[in-house]
Amino acid sequence: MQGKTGSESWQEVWDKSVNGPRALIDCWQEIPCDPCQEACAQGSIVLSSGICAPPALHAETCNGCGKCVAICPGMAIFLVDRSIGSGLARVTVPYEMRDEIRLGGEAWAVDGEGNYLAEGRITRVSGAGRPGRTMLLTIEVPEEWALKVRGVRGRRKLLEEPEEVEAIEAVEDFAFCRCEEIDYSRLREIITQGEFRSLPALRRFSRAGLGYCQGRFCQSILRSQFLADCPEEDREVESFRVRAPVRPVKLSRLGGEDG
Amino acid sequence: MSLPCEQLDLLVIGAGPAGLCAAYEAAAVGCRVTIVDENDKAGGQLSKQIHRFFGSSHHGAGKRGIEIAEELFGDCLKLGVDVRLSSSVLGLFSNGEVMIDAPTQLCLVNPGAVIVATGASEKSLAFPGWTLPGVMGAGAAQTLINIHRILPGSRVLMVGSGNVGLIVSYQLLQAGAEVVGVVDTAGSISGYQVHAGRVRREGIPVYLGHRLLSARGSTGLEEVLVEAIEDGTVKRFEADVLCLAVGMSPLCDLAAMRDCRMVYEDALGGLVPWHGADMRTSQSPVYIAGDASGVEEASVAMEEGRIAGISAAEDLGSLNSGEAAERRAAIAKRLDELRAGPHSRGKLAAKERLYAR
Amino acid sequence: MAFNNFRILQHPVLGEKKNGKEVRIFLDGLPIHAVEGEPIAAALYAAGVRITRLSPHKKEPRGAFCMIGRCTECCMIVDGEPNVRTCRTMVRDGMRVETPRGWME
Ligand SMILES: Cc1cc2nc3c(=O)[nH]c(=O)nc-3n(C[C@H](O)[C@H](O)[C@H](O)COP(=O)(O)OP(=O)(O)OC[C@H]3O[C@@H](n4cnc5c(N)ncnc54)[C@H](O)[C@@H]3O)c2cc1C
Ligand code: SF4
Ligand code: SF4
Ligand code: FES
Repeated sequence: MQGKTGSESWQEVWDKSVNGPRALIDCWQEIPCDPCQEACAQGSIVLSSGICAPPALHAETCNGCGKCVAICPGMAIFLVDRSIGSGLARVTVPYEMRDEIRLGGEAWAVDGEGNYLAEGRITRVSGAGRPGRTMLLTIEVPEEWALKVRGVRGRRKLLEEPEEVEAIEAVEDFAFCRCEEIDYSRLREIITQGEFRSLPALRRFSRAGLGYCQGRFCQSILRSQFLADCPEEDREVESFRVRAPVRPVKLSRLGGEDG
Repeated sequence: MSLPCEQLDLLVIGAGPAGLCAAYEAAAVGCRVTIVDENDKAGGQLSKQIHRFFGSSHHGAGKRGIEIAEELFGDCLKLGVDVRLSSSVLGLFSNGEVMIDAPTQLCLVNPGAVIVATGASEKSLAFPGWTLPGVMGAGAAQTLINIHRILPGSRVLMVGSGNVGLIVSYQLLQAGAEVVGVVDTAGSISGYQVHAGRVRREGIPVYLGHRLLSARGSTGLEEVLVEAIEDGTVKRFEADVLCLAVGMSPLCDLAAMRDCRMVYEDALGGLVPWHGADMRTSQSPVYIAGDASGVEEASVAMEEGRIAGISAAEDLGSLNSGEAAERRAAIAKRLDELRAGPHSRGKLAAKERLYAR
Repeated sequence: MAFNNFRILQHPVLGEKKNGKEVRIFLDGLPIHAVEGEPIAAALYAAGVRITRLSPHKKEPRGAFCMIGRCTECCMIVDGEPNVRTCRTMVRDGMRVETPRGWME
């Protein structure tokens, strides 16, 4: 039988998880990634057509070993286990954060947006104390959250909302080039006056991009401002020249007097 | 000033995934390879990446960037590649000479072939307050936390919801900083859904359709004003770090200095040296690979590096053309697979335009 | 260690930070603790110092921007030598680091 991708497989995971843990995969974009398929000894994860296909799960054959959970670079695979009954489910999530979470302790189960779902007991911790390994945490939550849990958190304080403030008026002027400190207003003036119709000419005149960093930082900004302010029909193409050295170098070395 | 000039066979500039794979591939068929990098560690971007990587088993997927870097570097050492770290290449001259700022002195080398695998540099944004201490590239924050193990501050606002912005936000959280949000002018998250998922489940809000107004503070960053594009409401974030993750552009000034024909391709991050599918540039014997040939991913950089290594080995006479073509074709197939997803569509089209010219 | 909380001693992926040898550098005459093998700019951040220089004309505060030796925002005067990129220059015991205060105009 063909496996299912994304949330289509979740119903099956829900059904089969009464027998023990099953993998719940929350990865449905076409991205170039396949370690989950490689990791699964059961052959339960299959990418149908090449490395960009989203992973499809065979919930029947998955034995809940968790290998795919620990290796997934997107941290997008979880285990759902409803075999304990009494309206509870155990959800296993990959974990690489700092909050100290201990076996037997309580933690928060959160959804994909970080919203609190439930407080639950941590029933299993694997890979702890081994930096470089991804920890797997298992948390016990009411069954209705089983498919929603995406993370486990210590009781870290929640972020406060940013404050809304009065809109500020005119944009203050600012240095556009970090080295030569050319003002933004000055630069736009130069461009819109239309005297300089190519980037190299603009750079030579304004000196923006000719400072100590040699434009390695401001070049892309200069370019987008030029494209925004200089009408297309006025632009001239001028070849772009680069001179050595491409990194600042001590004058004493170039002078060679001390070798 | 006259400097002694050392003769080399193949010089690879940049020891990131592209450079290391290029060096390996060429050394494996008997070329004498020297690889230089200005960093004191090999691995390029990988040596800052503590997360597990995408890709397939050909690219070490599922391992962390730092682990992949060690493996690729180890493979090169095993083949006897001459590795020179803390050495910046300052110039590639038309007479074929290369100037290197090595730890003890400035020196010139004259290689039989050069592979430029210098990666990319971060783009930036200019806005009022962008020069305040505390405003920095996402890569700078990443270098501080993952390499030097020092936090740049305690409350961070991230600009850019691409993979870099998302990953660095997550890593700042792992390092113990508070991340107050990710803002992006775009209306949808531009990185992968799975990366966004990791960040959002930690409670970090993503503010889409928002733009930076200004960064403020007296001796360093204290607050950032951000405007909702649609209704003009302004939010004030208290933060002592503002990270910019607004894209990368190919670092190919060395190729430009060597008079390689340059082509502007927005999808690849800006100006790139023209190159064919064999990674040859318009100037022989100069090759390009990895982010320097168009910003993509480490997996792509590795494959392009391998191709460049093979082409260079062919031109240096270490590989016959039939064999070289066969090896390139096998890799090209894997590259096609890597670029099959919707996130690569624009890049693939741009690469195809280049190859066709 | 007598370090403040900007140092990441424990990390969920990288583990515990190995204790490097402690050294002392002087920022504009004041002593700062640093760890051997780290660049000056990092040591300054660890000490909570964000300003690396004042800009040449407007004398505005600046700080490290790229940390990989490309932007030159972190240039300081180190043991009397001007324009040293402190993000790529490792600390040494007794090093004297001065904050450039812009051009004299
Ligand atoms: C935050 C972040 C997360 C990422 N996550 C992923 C991921 O999950 N999966 C994935 O596939 N990709 C990922 N990438 C992308 C990946 O890291 C890059 O595509 C890849 O490293 C490019 O390899 P490269 O060899 O071309 O360049 P780089 O890795 O940048 O290496 C270039 C090297 O050249 C050296 N160099 C440059 N100029 C000179 C010079 N003049 N002289 C001497 N040496 C020089 C540099 O020091 C550097 O070491 C990520 C990138 C970032 C920033
Ligand atoms: S949990 Fe184990 S058996 Fe199930 S899909 Fe993952 S790796 Fe395969
Ligand atoms: S390993 Fe994770 S991110 Fe990669 S395809 Fe599989 S589920 Fe998706
Ligand atoms: S911080 Fe950019 S050069 Fe040092």
